[in-house]
Amino acid sequence: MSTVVQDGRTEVGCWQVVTLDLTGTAAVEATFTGPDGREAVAETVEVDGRRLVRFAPDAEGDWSWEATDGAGSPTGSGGLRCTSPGAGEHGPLRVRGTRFVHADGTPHHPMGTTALFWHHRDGQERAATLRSLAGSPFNAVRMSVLAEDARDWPDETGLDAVETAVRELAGLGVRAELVLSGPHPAVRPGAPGWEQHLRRAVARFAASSHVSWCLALDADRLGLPGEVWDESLRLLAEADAGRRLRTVHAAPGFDFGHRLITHSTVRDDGRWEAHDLVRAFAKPALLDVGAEGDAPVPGGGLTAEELVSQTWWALCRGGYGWHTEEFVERSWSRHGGTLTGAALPRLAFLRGVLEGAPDGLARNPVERHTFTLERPGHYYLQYHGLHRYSRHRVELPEDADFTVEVIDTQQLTIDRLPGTYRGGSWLELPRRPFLALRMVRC
Amino acid sequence: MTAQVERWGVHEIRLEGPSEGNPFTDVELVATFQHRNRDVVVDGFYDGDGRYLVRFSPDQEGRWTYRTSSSVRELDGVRGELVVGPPGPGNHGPVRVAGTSHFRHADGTRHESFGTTCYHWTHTGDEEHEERTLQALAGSPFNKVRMCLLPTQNMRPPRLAFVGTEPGRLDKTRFDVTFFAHLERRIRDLQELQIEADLILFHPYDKGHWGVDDMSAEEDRFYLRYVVARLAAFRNVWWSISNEFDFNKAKTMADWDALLQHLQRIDPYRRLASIHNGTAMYVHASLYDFAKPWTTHQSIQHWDATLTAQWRAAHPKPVVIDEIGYEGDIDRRWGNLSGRDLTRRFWHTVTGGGFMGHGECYVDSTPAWISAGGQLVGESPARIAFLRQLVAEGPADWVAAREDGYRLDYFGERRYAHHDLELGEDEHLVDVIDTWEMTVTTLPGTYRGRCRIPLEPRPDLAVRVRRAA
Repeated sequence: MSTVVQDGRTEVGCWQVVTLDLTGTAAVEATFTGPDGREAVAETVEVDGRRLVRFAPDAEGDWSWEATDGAGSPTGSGGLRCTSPGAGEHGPLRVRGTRFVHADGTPHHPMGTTALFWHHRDGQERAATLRSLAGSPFNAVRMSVLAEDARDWPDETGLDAVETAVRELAGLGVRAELVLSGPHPAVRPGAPGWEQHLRRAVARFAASSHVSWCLALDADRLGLPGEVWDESLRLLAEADAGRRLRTVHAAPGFDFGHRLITHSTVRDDGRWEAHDLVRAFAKPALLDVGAEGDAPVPGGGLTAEELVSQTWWALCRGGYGWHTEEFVERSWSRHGGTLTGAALPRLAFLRGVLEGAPDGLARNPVERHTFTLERPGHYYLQYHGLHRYSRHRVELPEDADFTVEVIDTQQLTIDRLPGTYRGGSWLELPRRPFLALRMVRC
Repeated sequence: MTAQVERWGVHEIRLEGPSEGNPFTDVELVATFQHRNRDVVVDGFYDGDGRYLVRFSPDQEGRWTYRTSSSVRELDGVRGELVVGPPGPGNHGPVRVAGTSHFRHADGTRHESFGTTCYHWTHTGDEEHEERTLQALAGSPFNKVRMCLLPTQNMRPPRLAFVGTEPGRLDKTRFDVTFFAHLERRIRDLQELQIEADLILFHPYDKGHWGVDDMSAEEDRFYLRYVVARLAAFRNVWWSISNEFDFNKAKTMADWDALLQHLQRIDPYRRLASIHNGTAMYVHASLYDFAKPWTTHQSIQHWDATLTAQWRAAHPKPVVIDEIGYEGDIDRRWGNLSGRDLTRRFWHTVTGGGFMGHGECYVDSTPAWISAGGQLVGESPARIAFLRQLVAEGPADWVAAREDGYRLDYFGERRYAHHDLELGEDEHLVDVIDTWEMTVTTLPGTYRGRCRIPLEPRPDLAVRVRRAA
């Protein structure tokens, strides 16, 4: 029996997708064994009438694979060589402490937006969404594997639409956070057909290194017992040969401490409660900060100023804000299209500040009066939000001089205060809201 | 050779490594067990004499592979695999939360928690006494024991969790492996009896004497890590992070939050985990905030069982009143309830949809059961057995089953001449239950619509209603 690697490729770059075409065999899965002996199991998926296995090797060297049928008997085998990653290829995201890093160790700061069903719109609107994203500071989109108002699990055509979108996002360097269930009782986790749906979606998309999983939105409102989440997380982890990030979107009281949840995704309606989430669960947190727009819905109606301010708070609390936009006339959060809000340039500015910051930033664990991201002894980023200080005391190390800059997060200016500072210092500040301080060792 | 192990059983990897220095602190050992693409990361532990163990309990049947990683070369990169088969007889898997108010074994078997308390039954050094405790438990209705790991101020146990015998001078960087081996043997003995071991990891009763209730956060975590590495693999283990947590003046609420969070982080199996409050009886009870997601159930100390429904409504987690007062006659009011009174509290709790724990302390029966086990002399255990039997005969969720025509109405200390019910169109069977005399009397005929159940006007009665087949 001949089983061929599609396109005849036996070489693949690290983290790139290799596809086995097992059409005409009884294979249900293939086990890949890497150069260090580690195994990964990828299930077959039917696409365009072909039976495929998709897999992305994550270690350079020789890999072998063996396909097996439902009884565990071999139906074929082969090998492939994983070569060094392409230029600029950093690999999928992993969690390191309370931060995200790529597989090659490169830090990653998420800046996401939600456009749940953009990929199910017509061609013109889809093109507008992609243009909007290309011109935005966002590096991730939260989007649903299910269609809008779905009452059934998606069929092949529905998954094809998701697949096209996932590929388009890859081209833009934008990550796809795939929401795997819907709010209707027939398409909630644990509903009939859930396991098959989950495994089918995972088999299709898990090889793509820019994909991550969100089991459900507003999980706490679905009325499902904890065992449903335990079981769903187990199924997801067992099925996912790519070991992509796994999360659940819910209010702060959800069981984000679950060991199979890689990071918390928090509907941040208890904003002040949420400030300890990163520490409580010792994992990264993505915090919904609401929707810029005028839609009279919970979480909606935010001015750009407010949304941006909440995003800074989220950042300085050690997490990351997550954007969306919702106008009565245009629902970016559901349909994508054209982003018209005023938050974007300010978020791009924030992203610039963040990218200029050193690695290993964490929230200062002891301060009580504000929130500061720091790399102790080197770098401090502190946000003041609505509070307007005339004078403000900062405690800097005694052993070095620091420059102090006043960042206006809304006017997008950065002004350095004259001189340098060390030790406990009083700063004269401009008595305006929405300021941040950046203090950097000289 | 591939090892065979039953689902929810224990597989041990035994390795030889260094014994010099302090292996408890110097050597890191972790094993990653993989089933399909899921990893379960398990801490290994030092067992003395250059012996290192990794203890693992698989939760799925099929093939698992593992590999170790360690700071020491001979313990690093050890690989193997195991084949996990179906659970053996009597193995129903760990108890887990089912829905919002009940427990169930992992294989779906019902579990109603009827606990008792023998805080230090494994700490006497008296094997015969421990065997007597196990015999008493075997003949009792109890399927959970609350038991401590750490000593109290007044104890002089032959061995402690930490190395050392001198108060205030324990070596908190080394564990007494003999103490733990003994504890494990007793946990397995409980497992044989289908009894859960609710392990109390901290308590406030040391008052700085041994130095185990005011350890640093680092020492607490070091101890937790070792305990979890050694004990979490036993499927009948529950965690109670502390008894009467609020009596410990050395720790704040933030400390307890952090300990529970840490426990969840390091426990590979998410065993049931909670925290038990203290009370000033009849004055105040400082329950933990069970909205916090790192607790799996509500472990409560309170004197009033009739609040059960209120606690159930407050949080979607099972209610377990682990201490409500004990049957006995000692000079403390938490320890001199009559058997009849304790039985009543059990009935109020259970008919309210919760679970409760028992305890006994009679002056003439030493050591007290709650302190060290031994023998049960009280009047309540037989009645608790009777209640447990009635619950087992009824629907798994007897509160929700009201929708299906089932009721278990309890009157406690009240004597009613009759009990009026609105039963709808269906025909129902009605039993009058004497909870003290342990009798069930089925009334003749069937009942429907608005009906009046005649009662003899005496206390301790209950009425059970079932839809006629």
